[in-house]
Amino acid sequence: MTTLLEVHDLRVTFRTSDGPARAVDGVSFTLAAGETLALVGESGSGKTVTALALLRLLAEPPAEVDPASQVLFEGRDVLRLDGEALRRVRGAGMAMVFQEPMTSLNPVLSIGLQITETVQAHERMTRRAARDRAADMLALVGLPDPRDALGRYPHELSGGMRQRALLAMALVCRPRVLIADEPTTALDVTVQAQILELLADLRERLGMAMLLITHNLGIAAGIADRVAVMYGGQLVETASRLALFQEPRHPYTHGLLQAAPRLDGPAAPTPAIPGAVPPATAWPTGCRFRPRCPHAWARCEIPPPLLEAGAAQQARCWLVEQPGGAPA
Amino acid sequence: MSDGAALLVVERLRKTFPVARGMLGRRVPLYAVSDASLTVTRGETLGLVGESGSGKTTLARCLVRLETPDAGRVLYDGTDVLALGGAALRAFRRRVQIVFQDPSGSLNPRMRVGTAVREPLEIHRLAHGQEAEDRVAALFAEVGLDPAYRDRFPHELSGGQRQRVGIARALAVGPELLVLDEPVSALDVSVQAQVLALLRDLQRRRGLTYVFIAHDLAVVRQMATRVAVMYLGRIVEDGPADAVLATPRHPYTVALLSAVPVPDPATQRRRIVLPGDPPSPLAPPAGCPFHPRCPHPRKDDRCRQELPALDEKAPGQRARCHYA
Repeated sequence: MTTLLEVHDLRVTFRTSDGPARAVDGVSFTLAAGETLALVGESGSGKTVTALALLRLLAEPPAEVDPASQVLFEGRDVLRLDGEALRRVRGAGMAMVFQEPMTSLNPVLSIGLQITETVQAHERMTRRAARDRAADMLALVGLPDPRDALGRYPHELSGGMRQRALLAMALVCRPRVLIADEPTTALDVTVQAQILELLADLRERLGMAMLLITHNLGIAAGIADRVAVMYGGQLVETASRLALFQEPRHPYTHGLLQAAPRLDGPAAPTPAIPGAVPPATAWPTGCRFRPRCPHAWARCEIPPPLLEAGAAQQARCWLVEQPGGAPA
Repeated sequence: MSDGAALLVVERLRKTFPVARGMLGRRVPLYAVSDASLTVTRGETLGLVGESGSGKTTLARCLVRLETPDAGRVLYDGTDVLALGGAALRAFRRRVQIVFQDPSGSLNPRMRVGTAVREPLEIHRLAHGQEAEDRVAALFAEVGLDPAYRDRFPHELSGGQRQRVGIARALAVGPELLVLDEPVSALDVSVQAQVLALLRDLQRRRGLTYVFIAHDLAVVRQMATRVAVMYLGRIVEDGPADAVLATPRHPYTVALLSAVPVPDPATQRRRIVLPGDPPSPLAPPAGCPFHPRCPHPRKDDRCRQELPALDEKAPGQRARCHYA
């Protein structure tokens, strides 16, 4: 498979009153054509900032992207593009849908106008042709009566329908990569099921790659080819979907899987991970998970790199080199 | 756990809200809760489950008399809650407390969290001065917070710590029953498990009864002894938690359970994807409220016309479906 997106050592720092917050601190990954990568993490892990940085959607300042960071889309560094070149990447290259469809749609413009505006910003096209394209996209994402929906306003649609409209807007320029940031988190579980089904279907039909950002391990297990787990602004584990869920190598991944309440298996209480995610202004020294880790030992005072932990599996944990477990 | 005595009985509760519609502001009723009946036994946890707009929060607010229902009765320990006033109502509020989903929305951002926990002690004249301070310190310790945090403001705490403050504030008056409205929904998974463990621990030590409202069925499965499922203002299924969650009878419960993602790629179940959205509670469908989305193969005209009764389908398990 050809590599579409290569992220090299992405670092994003925010200036805050408590000092610099290193929200994303050395993240590297690749995304192949047609592949779905799930970026999993809890709040404050840096997953959303990573996504925003890929599309240059962070306001700078307060954000500062390290000059050595690279985001290569089809070989061109997005972080160094501007004007027309950047606009081309954003339309037909990478597009994004956000968690809360109500705040990413303009409440006083009709759905049709918002989608045609998007098309016309990226492609030379008559209004009529853009409107036809918009209606086709609304049909593709399963909005009943798409012609009628063009004239509707966001508040006239349900949460699920708004998320479909937003997907139509993201897909209208046929992007090679869809970045979906918690696309179902604001939705009820029966509507979430519809949108997940739709995403899987669109991915097949349009052959696009997807970067899915989620805190929900169940969603990642259902849709991703590969999973990357973030903690403390860093990737702590990457693996194929099966390996990640069946043989997690990082104690944080393991802890998250243990903590998630589930409907299969015993109904017994799930064990918590002690403590809380530290603030990005004060990451712990050494391994960032060390203060919460049940296996922490002396070596963890040295920050571990991502270590090869199996076939196409990497974990940021010294235990990978210590198969017998941490010394007492 | 439960000793079989009904602590809270809700009979045929109905709550509508008038909503302005259209240019002329014509007011139409929004049916938030219709004909809801349930019983909560002392010491048990009733899980109240439903999606947004199902009426679960309105029902909960009626239980603690933050809303006054249009019809029906709420009996707490044999007393009609809706008839209470003055001192009797204050006494009821000491026995029944509510914990909200988002502690940052229910705590005053400019009040130190120690003061927030102390306030109910003073309002109910349970303690003052040094004694109140000691009680606050003990409550902080009980919910797993360092008593030194009393002088902090809500924004200086993490989400999990804020929810612990919300729980301490509810516990301050020594309640018997807690209504927990989505108490862990705003929290990350690793922290969620901590707060659930705390709630279980408090229930055991204080002999508390819980009404636990949640949209996350996997969380409810860990907490509840009994479950009631709501759809469009009505209870569509209730019964023992293990029965309802393992062998659901109502097609909505079946679909809801199948829609929950399972964090294991090896056991991906077949999702039942319901068509459409839940209908508007301003214009609930005739007949069974679930019929427009129902995938049941026997769905017919009867479902479109006649509201099914909440009938017993298995021992202790009831479902509002003609064909379940």
